[in-house]
Amino acid sequence: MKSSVSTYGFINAKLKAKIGNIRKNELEDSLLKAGSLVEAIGILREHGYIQAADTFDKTGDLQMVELSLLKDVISDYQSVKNLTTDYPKQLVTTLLTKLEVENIKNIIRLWYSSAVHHRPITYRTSYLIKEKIVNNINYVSLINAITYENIIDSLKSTWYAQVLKKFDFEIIARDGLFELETELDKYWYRLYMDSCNSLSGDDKIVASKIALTEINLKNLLMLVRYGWFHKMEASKLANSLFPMGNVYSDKNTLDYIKTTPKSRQPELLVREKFPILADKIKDITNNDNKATMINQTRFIERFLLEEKRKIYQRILGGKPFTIGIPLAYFYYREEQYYMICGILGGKYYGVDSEKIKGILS
Amino acid sequence: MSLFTENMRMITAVVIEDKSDAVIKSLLELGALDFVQINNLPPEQMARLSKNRPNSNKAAIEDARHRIDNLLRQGKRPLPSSKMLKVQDMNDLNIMSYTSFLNKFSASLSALKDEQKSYSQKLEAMLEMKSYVDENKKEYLDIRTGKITSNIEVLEKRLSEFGSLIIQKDGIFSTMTLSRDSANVSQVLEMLGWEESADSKLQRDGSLAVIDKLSIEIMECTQKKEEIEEQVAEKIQEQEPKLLEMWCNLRLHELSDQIRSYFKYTNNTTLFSGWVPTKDANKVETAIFSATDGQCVIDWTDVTDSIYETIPVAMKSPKIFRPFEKLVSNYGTPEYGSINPTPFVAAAYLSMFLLMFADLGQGFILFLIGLGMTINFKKNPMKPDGIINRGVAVLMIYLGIVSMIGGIIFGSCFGYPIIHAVWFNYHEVVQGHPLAGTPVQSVMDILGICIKYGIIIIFIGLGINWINLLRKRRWGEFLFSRTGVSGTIMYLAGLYVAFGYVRSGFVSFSFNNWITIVLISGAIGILIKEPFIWLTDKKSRHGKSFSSVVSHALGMWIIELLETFISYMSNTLSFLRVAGMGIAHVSLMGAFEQLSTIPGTHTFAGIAIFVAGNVLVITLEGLSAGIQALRLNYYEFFSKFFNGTGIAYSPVSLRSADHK
Repeated sequence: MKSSVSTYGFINAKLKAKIGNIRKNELEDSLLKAGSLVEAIGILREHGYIQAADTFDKTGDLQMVELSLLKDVISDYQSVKNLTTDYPKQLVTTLLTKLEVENIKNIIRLWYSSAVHHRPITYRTSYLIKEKIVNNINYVSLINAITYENIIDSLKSTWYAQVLKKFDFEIIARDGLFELETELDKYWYRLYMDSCNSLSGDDKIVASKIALTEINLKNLLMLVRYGWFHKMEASKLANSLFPMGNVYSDKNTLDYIKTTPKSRQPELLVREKFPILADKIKDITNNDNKATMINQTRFIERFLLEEKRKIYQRILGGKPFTIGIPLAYFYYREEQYYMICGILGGKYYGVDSEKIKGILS
Repeated sequence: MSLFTENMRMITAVVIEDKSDAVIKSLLELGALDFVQINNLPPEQMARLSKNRPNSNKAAIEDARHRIDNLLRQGKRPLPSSKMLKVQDMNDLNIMSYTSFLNKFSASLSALKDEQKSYSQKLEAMLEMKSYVDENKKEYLDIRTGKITSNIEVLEKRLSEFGSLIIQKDGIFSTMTLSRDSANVSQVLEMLGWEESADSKLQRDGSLAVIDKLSIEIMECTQKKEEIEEQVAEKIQEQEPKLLEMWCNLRLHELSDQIRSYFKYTNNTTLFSGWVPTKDANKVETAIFSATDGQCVIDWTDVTDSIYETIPVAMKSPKIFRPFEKLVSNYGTPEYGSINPTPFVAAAYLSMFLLMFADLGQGFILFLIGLGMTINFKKNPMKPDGIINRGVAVLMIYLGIVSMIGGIIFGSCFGYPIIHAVWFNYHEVVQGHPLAGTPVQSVMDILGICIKYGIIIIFIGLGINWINLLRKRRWGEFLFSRTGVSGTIMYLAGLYVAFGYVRSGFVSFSFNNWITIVLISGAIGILIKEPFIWLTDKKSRHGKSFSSVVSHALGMWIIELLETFISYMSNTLSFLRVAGMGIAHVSLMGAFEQLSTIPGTHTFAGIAIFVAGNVLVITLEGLSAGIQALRLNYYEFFSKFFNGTGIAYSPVSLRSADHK
């Protein structure tokens, strides 16, 4: 069996250097200073995003640039995957599958938009990934699906079909895609936890910790966003949670769900795990004003995202030869991708730099 | 070229405030003054000086300049450089008007890009349809032929969001959309009174016509899209002179503000100070004098020993040594008044590489690669430096040349001993069949040569150190330090013993009485260094008492002696790596030569092995020899004399690096 040094020595050194570059924030500062989208693309070119910049030169289409950037992210995942073996490789593949899940979700959303809302989707299909990510999927057939059965049929060789079979056109047309997407996510999180559990030693500890933290934070976000802000009814809310992690099994969570939607108090939900956050939101979460609620939901979401960021920062300062570094790299890489897309979008719509910065932070 | 770092003088000038802008322009053009902040005046004098005059918005200037960079980059135009700056072109700066121009210009480009986007989207949709036509996946296409009650404009308008393709002939319409939009398209057509034709011929003809139109539309869309791409580039090119003019003005104001930030003001005068190379002192004085019409007071301060550490260091080496300046500056800046180490580094680095990588053919390849990269960098000034940068490319030319010389000296070409060796044939010696009568007969001889070579390098380092210390009158260090007289005589004694041991056939040490005396003298010298410096140089005391210095010296003595012994021995033996690399080079090429000539090996396979071997050796050994030579310079050579405590001379000039 390979030692952790020989498994991760090369790859982690390489990824740490890349993380260092990402964390310098030079790109973010420069992009924010750009006077327009055209100038921002010039900055991307300077920072080595040649392909994305060339895409803009050729198409003038921001969404095409975003697609090119996403393809870069996928290609990064695939490079790391090729440098790992055995169970770590399996975990990286599972993480890559998440990007595939998001792509599948986007395709289903387009189909939904056309089939249920009768909106034209021709141009929007250009912004989807049609190349293989993990599974062999016939994207041509999937994108051209007319009925819900066509979608299931296009995905029949993958686990997606299993999940999709739980639904039919009537349910989706009536209830929307929320539950279907949650089911896909749940299935993926189960794969994720299985991959983490297949690992051994420090890898297993680090990966499981990250996975559970992520699941806990996701569940908290669901409980706040849907349970408090959208006042979702108890059974639906309970069903939307990922059935893993200690937030899910916590008694406070059960009490929170059982409480009538209007009486739910996020403060009580987070009190045990994040007392500082609980103190900060104590008084304001009783306010029913919509704008205040939006701000507070955002405040809680930001706080939880910051917690996630801290976990990865700790991993970088921890043991150097574990799967933690590739996981941290993926986190920072995706964060950078969203940052670039966010700023480019802001520049396209002429949003003030300070405002973009505020939204990103 | 001066052997030493350039002599410097400090100027302090007081000029009439009205003339300060003219002074800034003159000094910027001259680019010789390394400014210092005036803050060491007595408090009562400082109180009479006001704060710096408010500068224009530095961040706004820098941002505007970077915006221009980004626009030019988008137009794939070369970025402006400091070479374009001329002080006489400097105009008043209205940053608001610049920003407004850049905003308008950017907006006009964005409008073009939006137009391009619509063509791009249309093209994507049509390319998708075309792919289904080409791959015969017509089930994904919805082609219809029929009549409507409305006209074509209405039909086109209503179907445009479905990326449709429509043709009309004799009142018959044919449309092509994607099947996935069929339901929605049907709804639209129904509203327009669509009546599907039942005529199969009409259907077939309509289908073929619409497919033909698809190819034409794709061509047109592609052309339009490319035209807009060109228009954007042309628009930027059109505005390039204005953008460059703005860039230069912004940069000149940035530099002026940088100079101004060192200025202090009284009611009517401006005060500044800075370092100037002595050779430029007159020019600076004249420039200030003429810019102020003589309304200035200039005071020159000459360098004294006490402030060596604060004087900026300027090193002027001939252009030929430019790549080696970088090797020195990567390590540090030598102290003011020291010998400029660049020429010595050049000689040491190249000779080390020659000994480690001596091959006429491989050197030639290295030379060609270096030359190719240098030409490529010159042709593409915008190309960013990667791991292989411009300096490395030039360095490779040098390394190629010395490697070729080495090949001639040691008779090696592409790993074969096929040319006559000027000195001795490395291959024959390493492979154990040297030519009789040649000076070098065994690997041990090669090791001996490299050790002697190392000793020469170490002595050159010590020699440089002695000269530096003598020039600065640091008698204590000169006489008693590890790299001064004491350490050197101990090293000499050690060498005498070591060479005696080798001469005896590794049997006995030639240890004489005088060796003992020399070693003891050296050791005592090292012991008394610190107390001696304390007694002779009051400035070095820093509040320490003589007894504490003595006790510290006693405490550190054994460690210092051990370190002296170990460092000299390890530094000398470290040069064995020069021989090691040379031997490895010959052995590796010998191995490839044998592989390529194994009986039964196909000629083509033999050539392939020969080529692969050379590529591997040039890449790996070339890199390895380069790194080892650098390491020997930094650790074995520099440690003897280099004091990296200097501050690099960095005048504010038109050529100052852009601060991104």
